[in-house]
Amino acid sequence: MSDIKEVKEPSIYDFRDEERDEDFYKVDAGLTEDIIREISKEKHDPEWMLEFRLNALKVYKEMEIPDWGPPIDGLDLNNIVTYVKPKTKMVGSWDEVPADIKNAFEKLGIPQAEREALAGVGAQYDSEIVYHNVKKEVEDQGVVYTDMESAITGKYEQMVKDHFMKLVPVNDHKFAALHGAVWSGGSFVYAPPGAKVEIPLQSYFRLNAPGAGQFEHTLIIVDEGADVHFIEGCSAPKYNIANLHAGCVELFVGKNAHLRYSTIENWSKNMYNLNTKRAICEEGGTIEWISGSFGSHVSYLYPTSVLKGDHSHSEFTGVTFAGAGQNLDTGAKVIHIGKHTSSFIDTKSITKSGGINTYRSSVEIRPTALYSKASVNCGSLMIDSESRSDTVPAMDIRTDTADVGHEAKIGRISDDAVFYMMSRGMSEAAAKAMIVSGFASPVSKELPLEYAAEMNNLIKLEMETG
Amino acid sequence: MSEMHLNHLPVLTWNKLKMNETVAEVKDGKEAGNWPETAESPEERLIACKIPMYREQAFPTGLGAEMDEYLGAVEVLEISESSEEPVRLEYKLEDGADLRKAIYVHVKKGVKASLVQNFSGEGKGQAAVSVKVYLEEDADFHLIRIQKLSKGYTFLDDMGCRLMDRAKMEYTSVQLGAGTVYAGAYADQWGYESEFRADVAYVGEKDSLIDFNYVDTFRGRKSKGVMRFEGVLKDNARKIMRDTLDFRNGAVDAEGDEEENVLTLGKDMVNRAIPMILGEEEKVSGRHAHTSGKLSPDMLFYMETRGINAAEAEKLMIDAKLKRVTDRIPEGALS
Amino acid sequence: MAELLEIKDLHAGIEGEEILKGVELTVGAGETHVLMGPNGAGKSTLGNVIMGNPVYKVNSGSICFDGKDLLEMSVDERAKAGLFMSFQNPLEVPGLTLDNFIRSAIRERTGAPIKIFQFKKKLEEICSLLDMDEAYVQRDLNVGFSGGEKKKAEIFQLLMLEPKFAILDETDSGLDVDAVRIVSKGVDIFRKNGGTLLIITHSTRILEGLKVDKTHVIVDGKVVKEGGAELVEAINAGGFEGLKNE
Repeated sequence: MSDIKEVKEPSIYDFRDEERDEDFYKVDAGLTEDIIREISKEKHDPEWMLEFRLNALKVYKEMEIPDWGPPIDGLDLNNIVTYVKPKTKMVGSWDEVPADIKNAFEKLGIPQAEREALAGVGAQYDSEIVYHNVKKEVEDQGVVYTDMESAITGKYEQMVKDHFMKLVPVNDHKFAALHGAVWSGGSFVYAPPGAKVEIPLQSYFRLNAPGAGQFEHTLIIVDEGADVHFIEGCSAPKYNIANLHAGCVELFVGKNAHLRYSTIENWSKNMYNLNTKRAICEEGGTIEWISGSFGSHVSYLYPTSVLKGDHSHSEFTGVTFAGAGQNLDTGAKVIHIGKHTSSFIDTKSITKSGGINTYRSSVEIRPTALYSKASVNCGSLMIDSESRSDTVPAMDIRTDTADVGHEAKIGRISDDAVFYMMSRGMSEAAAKAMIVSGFASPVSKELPLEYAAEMNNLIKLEMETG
Repeated sequence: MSEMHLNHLPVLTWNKLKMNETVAEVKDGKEAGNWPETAESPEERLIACKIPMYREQAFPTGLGAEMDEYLGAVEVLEISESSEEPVRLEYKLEDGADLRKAIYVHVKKGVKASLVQNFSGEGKGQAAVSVKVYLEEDADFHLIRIQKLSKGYTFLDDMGCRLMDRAKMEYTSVQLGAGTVYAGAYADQWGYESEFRADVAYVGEKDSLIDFNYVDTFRGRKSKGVMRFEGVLKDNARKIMRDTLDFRNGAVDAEGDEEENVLTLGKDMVNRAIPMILGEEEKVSGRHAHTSGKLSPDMLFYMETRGINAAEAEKLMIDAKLKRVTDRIPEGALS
Repeated sequence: MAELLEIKDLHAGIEGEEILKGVELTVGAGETHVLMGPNGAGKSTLGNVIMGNPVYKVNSGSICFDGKDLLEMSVDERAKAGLFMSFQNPLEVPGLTLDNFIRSAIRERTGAPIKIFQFKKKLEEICSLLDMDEAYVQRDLNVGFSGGEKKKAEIFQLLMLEPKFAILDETDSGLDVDAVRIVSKGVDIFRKNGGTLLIITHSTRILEGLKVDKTHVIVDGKVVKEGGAELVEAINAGGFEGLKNE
């Protein structure tokens, strides 16, 4: 019971929006305690987790939908239970996979077996083996890398209990509450003091666990002086029959620790991606976010860095590509609390074929964050005039010792550049794709080689379609 | 006192930030103004995004529709002859003042003119002023507003302008006093090759509040806009700056540039800003820059090597900032 | 001649890196000294440390100027005591005119109101000496100035402020003929008025036609050789290579 109380109390992690009632429409949840109990039972939750879920359900029912972002009325919120417990968890056969997804697999050169796995129709062919190899290497360093279900019932139960949804409390927003009630799958990483993991840990290998990729929970705890790189997602389109993704990522970066969290996300174009990601850094800790958003119909995604410890640091590098039928609302938030903290945000957005892109951010420098520095740089590239691209960056600076800079630019592909490249024999489409890849290079150059190559392929593909 | 909702953000963001609009306490009694209907008012294109304010205000201003319904009778000023000599309006307010002033300026084709509004006052009071400027083709108008009210004042400072082909509008605003300032400006650039320029200087000190909403909307081809803000925040002064470049569909080859530089000199000051660029036209170029901080160590060192100490260097920088804006005022306009 | 500047066993650098490793250097009043050395030897660091740039930390040693302990003084106090340093890249201040800047600096140094007539006369004189249009002082400080114009503005400030001792940091200026001429001319006037100089350079062009009293060569944070004007010639011919081995 004590845990339930705890999440209700406001804390410094409580960044809940103070929404006004009149701006929202109410939904009838249709999600019952019985259903939650059933999920909990299936997952062999410990008792405290069941209580956690039930509390989250209550909060979910009380909370409203935000009024400021892209519309999500395409979601059947009156019947939310269909997202939580879809009748079919996976597509029955390869034939049922939508043609555009199949086509994208083809163009990205993904092998048939893997295509089927990614589309959720096949068994998870040889990735299990790769996964185990990774596991072996990190275990030698004393690093724990496992799925959330195992973590919660195993040796690390107390650690999970101490951190689970403490950074993103269930009352943060409606979909965080939903997540708390119905979460399933995800990764748990614990790096002990001083551990340095050379190879990136990749969630890719676990994409097909039942329910994963929909309400998955990622909890990473990097202890003092440790160094971890975690990669989430992949560039291949990820198809789910239920089109709501409400995942949650919580990252705890210890004293002088370093965590890089990379994401390449390419949900199928019917997906509502309402994801919450948050990191907190202790003294001297560094969080680096690398983020590429390509998929989904609607996205709300603002990875948040809480710079609590003195001299902690955050970097966010992101690219968002919105094409036909997409409304992607992405960005970042930083909260400077400790002294001499620094943050750096560099984002690029590319919009074409009637897509809508919104870069949204807030940089908050609290009175305690003396001598802090923040820098924001965002660029928007418009490919045509059917599209829309907005930049909505907020700054709230409450100490005069802070040094804050912000720069934003909007523009198009220069005709001169296209002409120059075409004069060297390139087609117009190839020239444009190359320019866009160059524009997105701040992200691709931070990714491991194979991911970078995939991302460039993806850009080429997006530039060719629509 | 009663409430007025003003300075609406053209595109909403997180309510928690409390930037979407401001609710101001204003003196009681409101009266709708008889604003003239502007002859040419091209049909506004609906856009996909939710924009909460402009639809309700036929001729938009920065503060918004409620200001139109507050100020009462509107003076109409038709300018059909060019003049180098500005029209000068002095407002010397006495303690307890409640000034409400609404002026509609219609600048005819090819006419060049300017208007200076000087506000000064002692004691406590409220001054609310709105000027809407309709600029016909090739018109050229400069509005200069200098505010030196005492700390006991609330200043509601509104402006809206509509620019037709090749029209040029310049707005120079200097905010030196008043404990509470709500300042808004909206430039609606319908015209081909129209040009808008705003230069704003502000100094916030003690517990003053400055609340801005500046929007430049580009609709006409090759329209150009520049907005510059030079600010100083001392003591526990609070400021919020909403500044938006809004590129509408059809504003091909439009160029917009906005910049705010804030010198933060008060331990408890609050500097908030939301500089937005909204784009639904591809062939545009827009840029925004914001800097906030103390004098840079490099700058301080340079000054000090010439024997100027930190306190004096700060004074020089404040003067330099104000001068960047007051330099836009033609010689003799203030005398 | 009395010593104006005396540096003893100076160790200084930036956070975590010692650049000056025991510099000894003395400059007498009214003399013109040249400080030479290869890239990264610590020439500019020395100039900045003398002036008190907070980027550099002094670990040990002393700097005495005109009988005062410089290390105890803030940058503006040093300036008021009669020190001056020219910048490679002087800072730009939009809205602050060169005229206004120099007036403030003079007022701060003297602590008295400026005598308008004298100021104006002096300004005219210096402008004509430097072949400078007077309208130029009404421009915003260094904003939109070309390299040569910035140099001119620095020398203009030197002559207007009349310090006792000027450090001219000309390390990597890539000076064009015009700029060299301005610096040489300014230096000449400054010397004639009794000013003391430390010219930091690795190019000898700037020194042509200038009476050099003493040359110091700094390599790897230490003064490795001292001599008269002839040393400039030697370096001009043989570079720094030979000196490193001594």
